[in-house]
Amino acid sequence: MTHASDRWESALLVALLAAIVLYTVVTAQRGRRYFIRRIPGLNAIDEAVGRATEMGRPILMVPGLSGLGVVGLQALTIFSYIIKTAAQFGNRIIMPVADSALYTVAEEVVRDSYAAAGKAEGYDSNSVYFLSDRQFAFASGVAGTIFRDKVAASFLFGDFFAESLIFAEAGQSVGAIQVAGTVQTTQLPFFIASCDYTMIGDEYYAASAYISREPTLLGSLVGQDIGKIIVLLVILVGVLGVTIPGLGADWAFVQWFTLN
Amino acid sequence: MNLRQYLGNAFPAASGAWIWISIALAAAGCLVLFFVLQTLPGRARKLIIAAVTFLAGLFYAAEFFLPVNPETEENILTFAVPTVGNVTNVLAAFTLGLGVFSLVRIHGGKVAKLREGWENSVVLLLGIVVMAVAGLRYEESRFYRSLFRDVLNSFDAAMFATLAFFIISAAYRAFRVKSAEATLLMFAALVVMLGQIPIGQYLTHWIPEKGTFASLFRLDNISNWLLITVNAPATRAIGFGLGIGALAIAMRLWLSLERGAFFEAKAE
Repeated sequence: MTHASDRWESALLVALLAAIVLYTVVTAQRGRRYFIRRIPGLNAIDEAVGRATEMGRPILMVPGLSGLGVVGLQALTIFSYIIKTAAQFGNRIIMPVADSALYTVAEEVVRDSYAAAGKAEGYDSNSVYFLSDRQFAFASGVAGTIFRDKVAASFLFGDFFAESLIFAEAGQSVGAIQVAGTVQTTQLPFFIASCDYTMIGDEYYAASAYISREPTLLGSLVGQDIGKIIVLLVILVGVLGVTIPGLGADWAFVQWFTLN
Repeated sequence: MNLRQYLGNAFPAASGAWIWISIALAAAGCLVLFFVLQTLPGRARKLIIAAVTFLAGLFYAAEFFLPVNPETEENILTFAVPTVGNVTNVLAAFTLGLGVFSLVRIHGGKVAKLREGWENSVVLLLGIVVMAVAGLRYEESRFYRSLFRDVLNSFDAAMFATLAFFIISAAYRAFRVKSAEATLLMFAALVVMLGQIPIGQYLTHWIPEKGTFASLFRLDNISNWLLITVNAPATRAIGFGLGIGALAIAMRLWLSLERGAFFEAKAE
């Protein structure tokens, strides 16, 4: 079991980053305005939904193998926005899910998104379904759906592993416009090669702030960026410290952040 | 008396008929709680969800930050971590039932209305029943092992094998020389691939492995340099961003600050 006392300095850094995020969230809620840069992958969502409308084919949303955690909930937040847009145009949506816990929440999210778009009657209870929690059984089910329904747009957000390329290439072969985002860095090259737009790294977590422009989320995003600057400074100071002969690798600052 | 002993005394381990009585009481308690929650207004429900979320998160945060006994490497909460984990597993088991219900509802409906592809749905429903019965009643039988090892695992392996073909088509698109970046990527990939395979290593085997300036130009050395000095830091940088992003979203969920998202909408 890992505890803060194993490495107090790292635990303090985590506490500091958490405090910064909280501070920026609170200041944003109190009216401070923050600017965030454009994320091309998210701009492509409207384009993809529009294309699906023109083609009269369904939109596929896959949360990967995500469970009911931060990654899965973030995927559902992004899907919620897509569903609201799709509901306006009467697009059919498909959302196969691999985790039964996430499935129950996903069903509610889809229903509520239709209601929020003022199209509650457009909700189809068969649009969200549990497939399998086995990786390749899920992969074959999703690939089969892509080929059978010839989806016009495919949104892949969540935890993906070896099955990522199966989804992305299946989507490519039916000519779907594809937007992907994952926290699994090993799968990013596959998505970049096969999808039209890919969200890299923490862009995945920035998506909900960019879509909703909600002050809490914008504040949190700015807090994240400040946190990244702090980590960057720690790395920079460490590199300089190791390089300077008088300090070197034995310098206490470097030792704090050295894994044994 | 520490917390562990207090809880041990307050809730002694049940045995015999008490186990079933405890399960029945817990189930009845859950049902009552469920109906009470259903009758509450949205705002009150949101408050309860926020409180439970906060307490659950606080448990793990406190367990991480509280000082530990150097001998046992445990603090006053560590003993409860497996129990809290079991609670999570029980909740997940309930939702698995809902997942199976979803499958049966969709595919049962398909079979009942003889929609296109209903034959596949029959196979799926039969598969669920046969695997469930075999797993629950005949786990040690050759029949079950054969279903699991010869059928299910073979299907998994077949699906995994399709990746080999998909990788080729994806690589073809990724390495097409259509821009300066794509050209650079293509050359980098070529060098990395050559540096990993014997024929590639043979091309520059006459250059000393290390110790001279020329060693820098051995294909395997360039390949390693690209992987360790260029690729690894970029991957770590993405990892740092993801870690901080996960921390931020976890804070928002823990403190129920996620406004405009699903849970807020439900409460209103």
